[in-house]
Amino acid sequence: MFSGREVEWDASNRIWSWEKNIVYKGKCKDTGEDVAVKQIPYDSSKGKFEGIHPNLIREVTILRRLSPHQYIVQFHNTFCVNDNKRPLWNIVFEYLSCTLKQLIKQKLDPSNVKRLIYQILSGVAHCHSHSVIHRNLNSESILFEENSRRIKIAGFGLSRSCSIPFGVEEKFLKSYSPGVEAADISYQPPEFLLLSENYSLSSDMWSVGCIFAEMARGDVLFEANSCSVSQLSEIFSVLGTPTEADWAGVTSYIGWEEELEALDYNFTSKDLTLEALKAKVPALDVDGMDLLSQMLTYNPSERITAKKALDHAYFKNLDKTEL
Amino acid sequence: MYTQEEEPQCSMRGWYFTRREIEYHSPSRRDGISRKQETQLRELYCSYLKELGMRLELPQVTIACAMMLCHRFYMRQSHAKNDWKTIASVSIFLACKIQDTRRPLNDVLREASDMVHKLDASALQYIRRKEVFKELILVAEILLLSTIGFDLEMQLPYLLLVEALRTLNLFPVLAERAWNYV
Repeated sequence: MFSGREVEWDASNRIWSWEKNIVYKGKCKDTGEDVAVKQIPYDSSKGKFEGIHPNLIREVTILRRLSPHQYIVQFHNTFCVNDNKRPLWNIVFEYLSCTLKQLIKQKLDPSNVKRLIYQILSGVAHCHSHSVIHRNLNSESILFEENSRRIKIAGFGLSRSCSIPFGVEEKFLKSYSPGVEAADISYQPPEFLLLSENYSLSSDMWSVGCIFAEMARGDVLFEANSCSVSQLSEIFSVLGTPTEADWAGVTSYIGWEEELEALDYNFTSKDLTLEALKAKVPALDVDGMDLLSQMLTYNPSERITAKKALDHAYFKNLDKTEL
Repeated sequence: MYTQEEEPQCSMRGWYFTRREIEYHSPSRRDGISRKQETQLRELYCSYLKELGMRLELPQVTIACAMMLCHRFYMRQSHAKNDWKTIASVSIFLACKIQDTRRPLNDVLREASDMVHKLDASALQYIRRKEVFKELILVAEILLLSTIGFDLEMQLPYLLLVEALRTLNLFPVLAERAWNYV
C-alpha cells in the first residue's frame, strides 16, 4: 500500500517547502485517500554527494517506532524514485490541512489552549517514553486535524533516539549540527543556543513552553532575527540572565564565552517574580503561569518532564474524556 | 500499515534469533558457505570495523552501531552475493549518520580503500578506483537500508553499563576496563 505506483501527486500542489525538501499533497490511486508526500533529495551539502540524507533516515526510523499514536502523524511508507540518475526519496504521510501556527492566527480561547497543550504534552510524553528527542518542536511542526480536533506531531527529520548515552562532538555542533542550525531558532532552549554538549529529553520541554505561550498570546514568544546571540538576549530580557546558582556550568559553555562575552553583553539580574513573562502572556491564569515557568526553567535537569506536566494542577478542570 | 504485511516475518519478532537459526539457517548457508567460514567472516568484518572506526576517530557507540547493522544485514542477505568489505564500509558510513557523528563520505572512502588495499592487494581493483568505489557505496547504502527495512532501533549495552557503574560507584580504572569489554 502507498508505494510509488499507488500514489500520485501534482507538482503544482505544494504544501510546504524547506531548503530542498518539498511536501506535496497527493492521492492514493486506489482509495482516493489524501496523503502528504515529502520529497527528500540526496544529501549534497557542501557540493558533494553524501548519500542518503540523515534527516530521511531519522524521520523514517523514528516514525516507524512511534506510530500509530493518536497524537503522532501517521506514517504510511517510504519509496525511492530516480531523478536525474540520483535517487529521490519520498515519505508518504497522512494528509493534514492545517498547522498549529495557522490555528493560532485565528485566536484560541483559553479552554482550547488547555486542551491543545494537553494533547501536545501527551504526544511529547509518548516520544519521550520511546527515548526520542524531537529537537524541532514548533508551531509549524505540529499539525491539526479539523475533524477530530486533534493535534498531530510531525517533522521528525531532526529527531534522534537517546536510548544510548551520547555526547555531541564539539566540531559536530559547529559544522553539521541539525539541532542547532536547522531547527527554528525561536523555539530553541538556551542549552542549544549556548552550544552545550549535553542535551536530552528536557530540551523538548522548553520548546513546548514556547508553543504554550504562543497559543496563549497569539504570537511567537521569543522572536529574534534568527541569530543565536540575539535569541539569547531576547530570552534573557524576559527571564533574566541565568547565573551559576540557577544553572551550574552555564558560564563555561562554548557559546557563553565566545558569543556573549565577546559582544560585551549587558547582563541583567534574574527576574524571580516573572513579571516580564506575565506581561507577555496576560491571558494565562495562575496555574498556567506556574506550568509555563516550570517549562521555561533554565537548568535542563530542573525543567518539568512531559509526564509530570500532564498531572499539573492546570489540567485539573480539563475534561479528559473529550480529548 | 504496510510494514506488518509486506516485511519478512523476522521483522515481526525483532532481531533476536536462536542459535540454530544463526548457525544452520542463515542466508549464507543456503549459498554453501559453511558455519566456520561465516564465523570467520564475522570476525573479519568486526575487526575491520573497529580499525576503520578508530582511523576515523569515531566513538565506540558508532562502531558498535555499525557492527549491529552488519550483523542484521547478513541475517537477511548472503555473504556469497555481498562482499563484506563493501557492506562493512557502508555500515560505518550509515552509523555515522545515525549516531550524529557525521564524517564526510570522502574520508570514509579514503580510509576504507586504504584498509582494503592492505588486506588484499591483488583483488578488488575496483575499490582502488575512487569514483567506482563511491558509486558502489551509494548503491550499497540503499541496499543496506532497504534490507533491514529502516529498522535501526537497537539496544546497545552502554546505557546499562553506565547505570550499573553509577549505582555501584566503582573505581575509574574498573569502569574503563568494563567499557572496553562491551
